[in-house]
Amino acid sequence: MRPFGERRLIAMEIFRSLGALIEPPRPNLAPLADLLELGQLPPETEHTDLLLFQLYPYASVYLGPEGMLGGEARDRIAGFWRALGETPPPEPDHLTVMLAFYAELCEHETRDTVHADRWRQARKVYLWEHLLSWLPAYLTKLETIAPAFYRDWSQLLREALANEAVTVGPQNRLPLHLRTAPAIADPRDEGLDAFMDALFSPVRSGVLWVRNDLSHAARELELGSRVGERRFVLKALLGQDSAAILGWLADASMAWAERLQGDKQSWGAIVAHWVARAEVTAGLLRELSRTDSIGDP
Amino acid sequence: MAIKDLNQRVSAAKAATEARGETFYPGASRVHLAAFPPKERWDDWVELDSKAWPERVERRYMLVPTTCFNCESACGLLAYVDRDTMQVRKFEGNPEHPGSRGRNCAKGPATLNQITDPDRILHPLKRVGERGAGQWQRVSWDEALDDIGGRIRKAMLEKRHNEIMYHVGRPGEDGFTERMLAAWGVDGHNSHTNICSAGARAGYQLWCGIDRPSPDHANADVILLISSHLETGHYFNPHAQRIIEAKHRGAKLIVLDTRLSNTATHADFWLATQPGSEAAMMLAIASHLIRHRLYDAEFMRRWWNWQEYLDTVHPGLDPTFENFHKMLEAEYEGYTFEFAAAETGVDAGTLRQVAEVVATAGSRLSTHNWRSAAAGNEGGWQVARTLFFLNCLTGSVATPGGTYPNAWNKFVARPIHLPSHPDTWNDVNWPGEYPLSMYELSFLLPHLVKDGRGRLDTYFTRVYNPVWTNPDGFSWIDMLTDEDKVGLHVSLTPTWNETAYFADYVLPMGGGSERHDIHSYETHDAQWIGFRQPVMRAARERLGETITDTREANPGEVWEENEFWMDLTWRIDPDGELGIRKFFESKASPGEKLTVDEYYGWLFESSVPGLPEKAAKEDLSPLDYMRRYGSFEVARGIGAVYETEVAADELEDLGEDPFGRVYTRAKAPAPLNMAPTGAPGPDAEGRRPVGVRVDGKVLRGFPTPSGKLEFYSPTLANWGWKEVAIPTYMKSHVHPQNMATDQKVLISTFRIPTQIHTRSANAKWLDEISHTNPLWLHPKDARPLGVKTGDLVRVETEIGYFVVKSWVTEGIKPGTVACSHHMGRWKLHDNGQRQMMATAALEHDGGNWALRQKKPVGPYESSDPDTQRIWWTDVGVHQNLTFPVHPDPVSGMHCWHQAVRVVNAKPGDRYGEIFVDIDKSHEVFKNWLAKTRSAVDHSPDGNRRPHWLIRPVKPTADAYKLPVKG
Repeated sequence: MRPFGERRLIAMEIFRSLGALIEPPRPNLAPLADLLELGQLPPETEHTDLLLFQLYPYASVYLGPEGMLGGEARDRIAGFWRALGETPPPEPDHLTVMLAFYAELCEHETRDTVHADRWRQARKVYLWEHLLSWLPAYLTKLETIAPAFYRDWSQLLREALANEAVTVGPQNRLPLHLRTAPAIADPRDEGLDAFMDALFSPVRSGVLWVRNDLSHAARELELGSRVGERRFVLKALLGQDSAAILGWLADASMAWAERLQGDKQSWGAIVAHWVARAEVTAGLLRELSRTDSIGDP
Repeated sequence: MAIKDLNQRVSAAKAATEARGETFYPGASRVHLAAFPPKERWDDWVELDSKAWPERVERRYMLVPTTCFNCESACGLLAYVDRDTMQVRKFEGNPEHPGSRGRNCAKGPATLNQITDPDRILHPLKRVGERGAGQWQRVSWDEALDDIGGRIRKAMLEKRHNEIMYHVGRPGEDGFTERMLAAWGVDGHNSHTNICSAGARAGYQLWCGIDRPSPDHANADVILLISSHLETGHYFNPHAQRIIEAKHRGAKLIVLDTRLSNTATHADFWLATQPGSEAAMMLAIASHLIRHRLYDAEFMRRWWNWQEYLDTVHPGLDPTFENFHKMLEAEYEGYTFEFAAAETGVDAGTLRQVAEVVATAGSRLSTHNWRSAAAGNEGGWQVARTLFFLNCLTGSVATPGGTYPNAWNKFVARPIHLPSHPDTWNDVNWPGEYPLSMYELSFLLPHLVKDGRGRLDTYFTRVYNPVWTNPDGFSWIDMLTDEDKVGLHVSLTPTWNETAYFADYVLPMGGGSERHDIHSYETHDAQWIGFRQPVMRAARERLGETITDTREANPGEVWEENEFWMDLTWRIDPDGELGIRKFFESKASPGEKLTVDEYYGWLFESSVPGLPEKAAKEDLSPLDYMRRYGSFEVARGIGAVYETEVAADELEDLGEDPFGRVYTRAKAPAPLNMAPTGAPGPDAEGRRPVGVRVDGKVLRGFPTPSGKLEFYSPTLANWGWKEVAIPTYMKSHVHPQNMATDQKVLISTFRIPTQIHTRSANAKWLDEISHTNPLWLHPKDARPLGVKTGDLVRVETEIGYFVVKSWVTEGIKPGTVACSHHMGRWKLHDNGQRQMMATAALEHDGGNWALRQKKPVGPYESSDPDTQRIWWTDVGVHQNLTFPVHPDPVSGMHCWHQAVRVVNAKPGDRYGEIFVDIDKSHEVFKNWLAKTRSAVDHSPDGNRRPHWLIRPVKPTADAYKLPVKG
């Protein structure tokens, strides 16, 4: 049997390779896909549609109260680099970078035996605070909308993360940024814009809404869909039949919460947080739908 | 397969790939946090052709490194040579380059524009008709070389060495041409330093014996910049990336800048100071550190020449550090925040805050000043000196995050031949009035020639454009068109410029990818060399061709300077009788001409520590290694060189002065690194200075006469400038006290990151981004004139005026106006460069000169379809023509800031119009000359200049001697 440290060092390469595979699928990535038995690379259009138009692979989008790239959520991850004396790269919250950095932390633990405990603690914190705080929800959503290649990729990553969670041990407290995330906004108190901002902020609403969700809603409800940013599209839908669209969103939120429930066993409190947020959102949407009290969009 | 097995499989594949010296994760992967082609694939790199989109067309490239030639930062470039067409298709960053680390500013990729410019000069041209008439005939290189070589030979045989002059802009290389001139025995090196950096150089050299700073921005806790000059313009790429790294770590950025520049927008403190007041602010901060004993006393006790100061200035006091503290406190007690606030216009509270931030830096204070305030003001050299004062107080000298003397962060390799010193002194370059000048008084040349101090037989301008760049350009035209003053003018240039129009020969020299040079720069705490090479020559050699003359691989008959000078030298001295040719002969085959392959092959093999070993690991010769990777890091983490203990075998029959300067009889080992430093002289018994005794040990110290940081400069005191022998504040020529109430300060030197002085007129991408230079005017200054953005105003200087458009903005301090450098390019005839040079009419009547724009730029037909897409017409105004010369009496720096009146355009004024009275400009020259303290009157040792100060070409000790009076 290999010494413990060496085993860990080898085990981490899978994170780098999985990180590399969500970059655009250029031919030079084919050997990696092959090594991981993911089969042929997908067409670039699939990558573009999934990762550039629907599910941006940036932690800040899912952890920031604004639901946007950058901001405090990105700074928090950059701060983690700085706290370890490293200079953060320009996009420390991109999933490729995050997985590569996780691999690096593990390697530090192996190499720097004097400070192995410190690195071990850093690895654990990084895994639970910065990766697992959003990836279960992200991967669940991805698996519902992605083509086969990326679904398989996601399941591999999910499995690798689950192994790591067992290796480093559980984290009992919920990450602070999840605990302090503002609640969903009630449009009757805070206005429609504030409500939509909160709805499209995953960390607040607990739900990951992608562009295609709104297109589906429009199709199913036979409403006219306009092309544009999600707030713009939703506003247009609310303008046509607010009760119907709110009801559809409530159902989808509940369905999403139920889908996440399956992950509770692996990820415990974190998934429970996402589920609870999604259920609150579903409740609010249901009530707004029933009372048709969204106001004039 | 289980995760564990997949892990092992990927890891094994990675290990196997890396064992072959290859990169496992493909390029453009965030896994490496970079996006570069792995170096093992540089011979055959495949990319999709973006122009073929949506078709997926693969293009195959050979990637050949070179070094950018568009500023002095020497960033690495990778030329993408299309393997099918053997043409360069683009330039990107070289990830192997330690300074630029694969990144470039806009100027790097724009090299492609310069080498494919349809208006570039492809063949040697000789003037037909009058100088400046715009008529040229194509001549062969042989004809030009024979003519020029014959003329220089004749001058040498007639002992007219001082009539041969080489005038260089940014050299872009380390010492080749200086050694060439030394080999010729000519003291004719003339640089642009006095219109550029002489002020800053004086400030730094007087402190530490080395004349450039090298801030370690990346590791700093506080970064203090006097203006944005380098970080926005010149060293933009290597510095900006490291400043941003520091900011990511939480470092504070303090920027003094009259304008809201790019750098200022990133600052924690943007301090819009009154131009010329910067030293007052630095001294107020220094005073705060001294008063509250926030300095590094141990560092100062060990490394300042405080004993010499006390001994000379306060001889009655016991030489204790505590007494020094008291005197220091007294010297600077008047520099209160309130005093500085009155001078700078920045409130005292903010100044106190800034001082407190500086005090938190400890030894991690990186500071930088180059040009800007040091180049703008009379006494500007004290700006750099007072800035470095803060480093000296905080002990942040050559520390991580501090500021290094540049010679420790630069590597200049020893060449194959090292010529001796010329035995002549050129008074036109080094007039006796300026014994302390930081290099040649180049911009005074027309005035000195006019006063009969000399003439030029053969005058080379090399990638330099004094007519446009220097102040008082009409005086340059006046000189260049007079064949009695300038016998032959040879312009070595890659592209047309205003000075080349007044040449006798225009000889096409290559751009950044068409020439050989070796270049090192201070970008961080490391030493590296960059290799500039003709990329098509290197590419074809990689494919097996043998090329012995770069012209074979360059477009047209474009050449490079190394081969040009070697060939010219052989024509000057064909049989070796002048003793010059030997410096350009092969060592391997004596009697044959030296080649660039042998020159650089020898240098890389013999003079660059570690390079042969690194090359051998890849089965390459050192030259092949450099042709393949373009750069090599010689050392990193140089640290505090001054603390190095001198080896015992260098200590022999020691002498020691009262302050601990140690001299030895041991012969100096041949220096590995030839980066320029001060060269302190021997003791009375002829021993050489070897170090300085500190707490009982002989340490290397600094290359100053004392071996220490010279807070007190005996050089200044002994050469007539006693009152400024310590860092002080000198009121600028544009201090409010020295201006009329209706005058404003014009900042004429500010840079933008997308243009390069005179070099970028043929870079279409850069021209599209930046092509005009309106006058920045604060709304408070615009209102009384009733001027709004776009309106014409007349800017009146001491000797004339220019008419320019205004840009009303709150991004500038009220009472100050600014007009960017780079713009206002012109040509007298329709031939020449057409993207950025308006066609103008030049008129003069006696001393009155005028330039009027006749035709703006516009679209035109050429081999490049983009020239049909030129949408801009306005290329700015050539303001420098209207500036008289302002030579600082100490540093010799041209003090660029102008006291001007901004008035509404007069009826009949047209955009771009310029008027100047050059007789008046000569009067201004005389007025400034009267401020000097000449070597004749003040030399303490009979020399023309302190021998220890850096000088690009250093004559023999005898030539340094002043002529005996009478």
